Amino acid sequence: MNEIAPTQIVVIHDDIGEDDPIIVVLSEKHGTENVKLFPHSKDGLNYVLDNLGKKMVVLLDKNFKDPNDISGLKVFEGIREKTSLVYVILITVSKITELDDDELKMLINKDLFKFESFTSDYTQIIELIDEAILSLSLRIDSVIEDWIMRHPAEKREQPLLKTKEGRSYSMNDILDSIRKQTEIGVEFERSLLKLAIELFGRQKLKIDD
Amino acid sequence: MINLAIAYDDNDSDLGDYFEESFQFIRDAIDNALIDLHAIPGLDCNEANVSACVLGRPKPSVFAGLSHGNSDVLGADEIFVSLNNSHHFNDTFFYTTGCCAAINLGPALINQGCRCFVGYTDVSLAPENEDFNAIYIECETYCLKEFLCSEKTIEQAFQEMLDLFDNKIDDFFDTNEIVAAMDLQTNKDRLMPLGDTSLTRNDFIAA
Repeated sequence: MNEIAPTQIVVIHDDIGEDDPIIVVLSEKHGTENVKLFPHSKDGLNYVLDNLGKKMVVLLDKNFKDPNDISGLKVFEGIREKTSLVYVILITVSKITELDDDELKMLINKDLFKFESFTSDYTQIIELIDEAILSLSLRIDSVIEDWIMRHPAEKREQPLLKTKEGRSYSMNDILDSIRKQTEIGVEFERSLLKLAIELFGRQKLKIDD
Repeated sequence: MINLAIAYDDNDSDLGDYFEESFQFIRDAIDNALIDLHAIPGLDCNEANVSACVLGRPKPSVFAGLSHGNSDVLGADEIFVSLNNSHHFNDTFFYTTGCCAAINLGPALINQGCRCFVGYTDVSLAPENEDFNAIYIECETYCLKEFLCSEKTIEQAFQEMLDLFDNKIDDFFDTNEIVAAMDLQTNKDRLMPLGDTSLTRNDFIAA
């Protein structure tokens, strides 16, 4: 699929530098402009929250050395307070058994995409990122986002939907709502899926005839 | 004769033209020899006028509300149907294209003796492109128009309306008007009849 709006890979990790092989490979594969590295967790979290209109996969370190940084678990919670559409891969050098029950429950219930050990073999991490990007591209919200981004910027500001309650929504309103999973965006997703299902069902009946 | 009253908010700043076009579509479809139409335009759409109109004409009768709405009322700046005057609509067929009216208002009308109600269970959508007004209107008023213009039951007319929605959705899809197709799909899914749908127009000929 040729995506108009490529996925950004946000790496929040204090032991990875710009010259590390994983960053070099990711940049070659996805473009330097689509790979963002943040050694401080709060900066990474702020970037994600300020860019919820973009598709993102976050590669997140669990522990940070700087006492001013918040933990990867707190970053994950901070992201989930605002969106469920950013895929987060949590990586750590420590064992999973070091997580307590509440932390594990939180990660599972709030849909952590993957949990992986960070070793010198980064290829497995790259594969997980590819898997996350593929999953994102197959989501209905991503399909709608790509469709919206194919339109000129001025067109995206024009009303697209009008309710008999007297409210109008532009493509940008819908896109923003989809990323934040608020009502009109969710309704738009549901409506598109319902239309696709109905059209598909009727097409089958026509073939049967 | 069948007494038909249509309240339509042509005075609405946003959708006035749409509501007026909806009214005209029904008005132009019906046979004046069979149906006595009383039109209530936007400036006259208030509870007192609408109640007086419904009470002042022989029943059974048919009432249509083409306006904004919510779960409890029809009307925007001026409410013209609500729980306050719902009892005046006993022995009527009540049809509305206003948002959400099937949530509370419709059941309240039925409880007050309204014989059948058709309306939306949620927010309904109007076209952003006015070129599509006629198609949206034809779809959402088909059941009422067909009920008034044939011997079909409300149930038959309602089912045919759903088929018409499907045909128009397919047409929009074929011409790459996906958002309009989505709008119609949404509206189709949100229309609901309440009460006795076995009635025909013959059941509404005033004594």
